[in-house]
Amino acid sequence: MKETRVVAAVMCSALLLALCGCAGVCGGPSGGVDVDGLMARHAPAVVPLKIVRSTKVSFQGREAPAREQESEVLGTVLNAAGLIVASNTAVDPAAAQVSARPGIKIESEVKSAKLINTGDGTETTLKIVLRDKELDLVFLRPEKAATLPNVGLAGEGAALRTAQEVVVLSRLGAVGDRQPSVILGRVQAVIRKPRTFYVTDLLSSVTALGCPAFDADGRLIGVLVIRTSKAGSSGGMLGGLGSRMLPVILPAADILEDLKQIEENEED
Amino acid sequence: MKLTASRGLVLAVLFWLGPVAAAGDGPARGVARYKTAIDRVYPALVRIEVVAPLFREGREVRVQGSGSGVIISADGYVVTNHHVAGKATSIRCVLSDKREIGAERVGTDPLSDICVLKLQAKGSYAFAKFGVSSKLKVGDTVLAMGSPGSLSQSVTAGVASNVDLIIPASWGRLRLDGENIGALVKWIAHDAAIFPGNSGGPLVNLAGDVVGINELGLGLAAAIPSDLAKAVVDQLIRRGEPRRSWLGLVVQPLLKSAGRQSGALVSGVIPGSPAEAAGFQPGDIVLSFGGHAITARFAEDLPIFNRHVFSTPAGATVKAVVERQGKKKTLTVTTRLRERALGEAYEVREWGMNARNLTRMNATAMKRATTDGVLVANTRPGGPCAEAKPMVRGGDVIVQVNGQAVKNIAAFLEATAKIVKGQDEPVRTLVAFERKNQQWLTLVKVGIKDLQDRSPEARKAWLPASIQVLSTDLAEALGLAGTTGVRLTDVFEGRSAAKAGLKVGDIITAIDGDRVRASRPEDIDLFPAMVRQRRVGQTVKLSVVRGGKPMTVEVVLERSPKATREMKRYRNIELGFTVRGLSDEDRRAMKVKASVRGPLVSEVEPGSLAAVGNLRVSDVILAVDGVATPRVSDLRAAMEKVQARRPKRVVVFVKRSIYTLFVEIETPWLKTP
Repeated sequence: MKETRVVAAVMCSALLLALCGCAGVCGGPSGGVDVDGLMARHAPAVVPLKIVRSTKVSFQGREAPAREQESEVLGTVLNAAGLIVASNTAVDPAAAQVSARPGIKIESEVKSAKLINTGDGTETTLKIVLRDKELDLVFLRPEKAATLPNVGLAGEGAALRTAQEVVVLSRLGAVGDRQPSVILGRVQAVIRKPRTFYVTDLLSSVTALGCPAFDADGRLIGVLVIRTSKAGSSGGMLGGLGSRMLPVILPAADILEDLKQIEENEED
Repeated sequence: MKLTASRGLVLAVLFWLGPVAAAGDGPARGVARYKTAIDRVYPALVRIEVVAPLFREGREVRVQGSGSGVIISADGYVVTNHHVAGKATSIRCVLSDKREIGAERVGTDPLSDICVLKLQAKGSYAFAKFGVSSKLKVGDTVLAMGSPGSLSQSVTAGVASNVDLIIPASWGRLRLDGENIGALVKWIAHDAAIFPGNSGGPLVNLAGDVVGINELGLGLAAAIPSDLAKAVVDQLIRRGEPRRSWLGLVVQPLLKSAGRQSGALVSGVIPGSPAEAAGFQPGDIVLSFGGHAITARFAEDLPIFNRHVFSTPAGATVKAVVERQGKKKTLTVTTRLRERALGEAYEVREWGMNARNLTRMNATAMKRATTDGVLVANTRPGGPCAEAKPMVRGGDVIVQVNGQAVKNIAAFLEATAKIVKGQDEPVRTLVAFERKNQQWLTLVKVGIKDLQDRSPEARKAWLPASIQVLSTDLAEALGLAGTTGVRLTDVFEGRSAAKAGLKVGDIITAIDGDRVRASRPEDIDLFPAMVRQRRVGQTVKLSVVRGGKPMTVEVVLERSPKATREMKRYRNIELGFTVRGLSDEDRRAMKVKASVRGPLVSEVEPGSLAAVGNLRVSDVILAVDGVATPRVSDLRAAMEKVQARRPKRVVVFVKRSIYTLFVEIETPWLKTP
């Protein structure tokens, strides 16, 4: 997963550079977006997470031994209390199971989650405090209280229209020294039902799952996740995610709903 | 081999007392022939019910089984097979008069497959006598007595078919706990019908003497001759174990090409053995041993030679005459005590393995100089040893733990206790082990990880009802061809769906105009997923078909209840069961009233003490030793008190379906090596 994400990021970066003839697509301020300011304020809130999960596959009742896999994904620190949100699909791909064939059952369990401190490479142990499979979110918190740079999720976030600019803050993988990176795009479509989701033209959005997206004024829109549909065929004609999975920006308001549940759970 | 039958294996058996009668014989005459034998031995028969451990896949699993035995003394000694009761942790004998009496093991011998028990209740018991098996001839009538299929005592009749039966070489060796039982035993084969559960029961002649102990089914039945059985029984009663000599000499039948009529051919000499020290060499022909003339022309003769060796007092010095390159030579050999082939097995949970001490035989076979180390018997898939990289597996010998040598299981358990003391998580431990004469190193995460409560799921919008998919065929049958959606199978009383007027049988085809495109069983989660996508408290419009007529129902979506997977859990490792809190889903599915409070048994490990005690999955535990356990935390506290008290049994009061019952579980407390 780690390697896949890095290769995809490199390919996307190459593609973006090739498109650099188009004004306003790459680098510096674009159509008014203060990318440098945005990165200075919020890039530290985009954090690499090391996930170890154990996956067990059974086929028609026969189990293969559980296998442990390690991967690196990205998350966004939401508030000063250090609550981190990531894409549940990225953290636990087996949870999606969209490619599972009949008779195949995949069970997975996250054995450990750690935040990689980009400054010194140390790791902070995290605990999962809530999962929301419908919204493709998983919330984590450091086991020991910590104050972390965050995006300050408070209000409902910016609303967008089609063709509006979007800036996603991300990070490169270990091979890129986990440096902050930025992806620029536009809203291709707005899904309204059953909830609001923003579909963008970001080619590398799959590698930036769990990363925050901002509008041209630097206001937080939400976080990149995968929207999954139970209906429909499992594969597109050219492979890839197919018709059942779509990278989208999930609005901040929906993340806030889950935050409230976390607070309620902690009060219980 | 007819091993003990499991309790679940009940065979439909037809017993008959008459063999194939000669023409003109009536049933009355047939029965009369057996009367003496039956009268003398039948009262001494016992059915033996055991719980015994099996060590497999890194776990000690308990199995229930039963076999047969015969009382051989008035004060209650019972003879049976080692494979029936040799390792049992719980033994109960059911006498022919139906009395049930506990028994303890006096001694057991895997090499002859003989075990001696003693009935624990004092009394004067009917008993049978051993006869002289060497007087039995082919064709003599014999009776097999016992408890096949765990049924009450039975008798079948046949004839002695072969009084010198051996296992053919082509069948390989018959091993029992590492012992080659064909090395000592020449069986009495007979055709009296025996079945699983007959093991350990007597083979009786018409005079009512025990001439054999039934052991195997090889097409024909096979019994251990009483002459051998009696000799072993005497040793077991006197000493608790057989004492045999060991030479380290391997012999085989004379080569046909040699044209010899006497002697036995030495095929091998074990390095470091008394035979090697005495100067035996492969190729020698043993002519006599300890004054006994030796002839082994056929495989049937080898057990006789072995018996001469085994019956020599351990440590005795005897003379053997061999012929070597045409010349006779006298060798003087001092025998050694013959040890067991396999050490006793221990489950070491923290490592996910079963282990044994190395015996001298193991060490010799492995070409090791010492027995230092711990032999890994088998490992648990997914356990610490199996998950180590490189993994530790069956056959490996652990020699060091964290740099400290471990000579045996006792030292190994001591080292383990130190490693896990005070630790909540498994501990990475450096382990040195031997595999096929190579020295390996690995890291094993030693320790038992407590059950982690699973991370909570977000509680989403929920319609309080149960559904089934409206399949294409069903839609057609209901006159709704082409319609997709779900049918309500249950509407939860008092909740928003019921308040909105939804009824069982309603077919929901759309939510807020979005079609529910479910038409196959695998679409079962489509509708719930559509609901979950909405917000808690949101009012939705459901397009419903009721009685063939379309209608719209507005319903408020509730917040989903806590998922079953999120309920608190507790696992008791010693007894082998796991419980969790009763969820709403459980209560609905099992129709458990709110007044019933207790954790639900979610797992019972096969072969565990809980399984043997008959605790079952889906039992709701109401109390432990009379103390109510409404919550998981209460059960945990109660079991911790049991752990501290260490009683022989713990009584769990459970609700099972519409019944309540008391489940009595024996408690383990660790045996020490």
